[in-house]
Amino acid sequence: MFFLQWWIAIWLSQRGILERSAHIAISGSSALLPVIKEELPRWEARHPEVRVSVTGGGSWAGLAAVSQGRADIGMSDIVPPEAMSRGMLGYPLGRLPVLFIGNRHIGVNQVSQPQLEQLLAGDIGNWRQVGGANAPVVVVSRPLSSGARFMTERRILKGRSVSPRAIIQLSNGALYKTVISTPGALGYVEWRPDLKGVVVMAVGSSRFDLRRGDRWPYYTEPTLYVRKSAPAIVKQLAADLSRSPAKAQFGLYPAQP
Amino acid sequence: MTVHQKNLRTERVQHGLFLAAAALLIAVGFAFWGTLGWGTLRFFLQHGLNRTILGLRYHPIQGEFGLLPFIAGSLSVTLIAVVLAYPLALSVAVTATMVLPHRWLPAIRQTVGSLAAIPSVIFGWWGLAMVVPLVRKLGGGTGFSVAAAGIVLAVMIVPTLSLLAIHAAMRVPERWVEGSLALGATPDQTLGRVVLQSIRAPLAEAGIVAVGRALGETMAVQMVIGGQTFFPHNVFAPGATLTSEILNDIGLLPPGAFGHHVLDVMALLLLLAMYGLVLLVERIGGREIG
Repeated sequence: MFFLQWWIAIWLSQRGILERSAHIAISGSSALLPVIKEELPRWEARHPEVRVSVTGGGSWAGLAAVSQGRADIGMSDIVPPEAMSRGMLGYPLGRLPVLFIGNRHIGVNQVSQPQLEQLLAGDIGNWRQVGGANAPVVVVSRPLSSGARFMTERRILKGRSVSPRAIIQLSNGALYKTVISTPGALGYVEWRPDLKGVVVMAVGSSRFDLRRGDRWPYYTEPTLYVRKSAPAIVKQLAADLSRSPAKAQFGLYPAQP
Repeated sequence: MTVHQKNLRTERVQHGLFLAAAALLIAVGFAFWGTLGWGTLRFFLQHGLNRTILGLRYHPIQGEFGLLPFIAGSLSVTLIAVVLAYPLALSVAVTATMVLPHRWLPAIRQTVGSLAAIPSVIFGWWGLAMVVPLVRKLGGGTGFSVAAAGIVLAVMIVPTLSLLAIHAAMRVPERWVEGSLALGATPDQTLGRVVLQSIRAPLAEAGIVAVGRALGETMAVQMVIGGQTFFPHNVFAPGATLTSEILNDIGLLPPGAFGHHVLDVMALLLLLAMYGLVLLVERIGGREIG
């Protein structure tokens, strides 16, 4: 079924290009779907001649689809490799905080950055070692395709991989629910409106504050990518979406200059 | 144009439409086999046969494509699910058709049928909330495990399996049951030696359908199995199945990415397994009651 949907999506997006881009296909990170879907109806009302389709599939899939011409706009919170980004323009949406959350009963609400690195890599096996309860550390992670994981492995783990013994959950929501209900769980989530039932970890001297989310040092930078050769209307759409006033309600904080 | 000629023309148009529909279906089927087969061929040409299907290590970014952990995951999850679900479904069928008054049967069938319509993602959330903590209590560890996936799947396939078993049991002629009882057999003997004996073939068929459903299930399994790419050495260890790993990696390995074709290999393995099951159903399904 997945492959079939894949094919249909690819086929539809190719048709879009053939029809002089009267149809614009957006594809990529599902983290950006809510804000895009919020802004898109307003944009389409202003441009009745253009039809826009949006599909998820993940950051890597979005980047690949744009660079291979299968989609017009790729949503990604992963920084594309040099070879891929050369022919593309990026329209950043801001900063999406990534928060480190723990189960309520771990007895810790603050760790240093090196401690967090060792916890996530699986080097520290018990919360007692960082001053918490006597409970084994259960790392919960997203799959390799996740932008939040990409950021975590680069910024916290310094290029190492998340513990190979981590429980893998596909979505932000499932990961959050897993951390709530699994004793000793530690995971990371992209910003979400409510974080009840978990401990939001302070890392070093940084503590996450909803109102000052732009000060939190760990974030992805979701960006809309278009090919440099794309028609003006595609670039217009990407630029308009990246400036959407709806961003704030989805945790996208402005980047500090 | 006479009425007869008109009818003939309508018939020709109809014939053409039906032929086109059938041809389209066959073409789609061949396209699946073709695409997956071609992808698999390219995978083996690129990566060779060693360290692939029978390998134990899986890290597609580092070029390691061992699929044995997922094959073992798929097989054990399916086995657990069917072993748990089958006796339950059989009990439901026997209770509904032989024990309870006959006027309840339509209501039972409707209820079981509506259970069969619950989407699998709902079972996944339910598994996350109920089954994972239960398995954690029973087996220790995190609870995310092959056993949890097997239990969730078992609950998922019980309705389908019950429905098929009820239909099978309803096909047993009333006079056989009456005859058996009249000859002095107890109800238990009648159940074991007449009813169940005579519907062995449809029951086996139902079992194979259930195996197919369990083998192909993706979302509910992914949410409770833990998603680890290691070989699951016991049922309380986390693991992954062919389907759940395809779901995990489809975002990482888009078409054109290095290693993308390993997804084709996994999908082809599943397709082959399912096709084998279909052939099995056809062989058994040909037999009539008796």
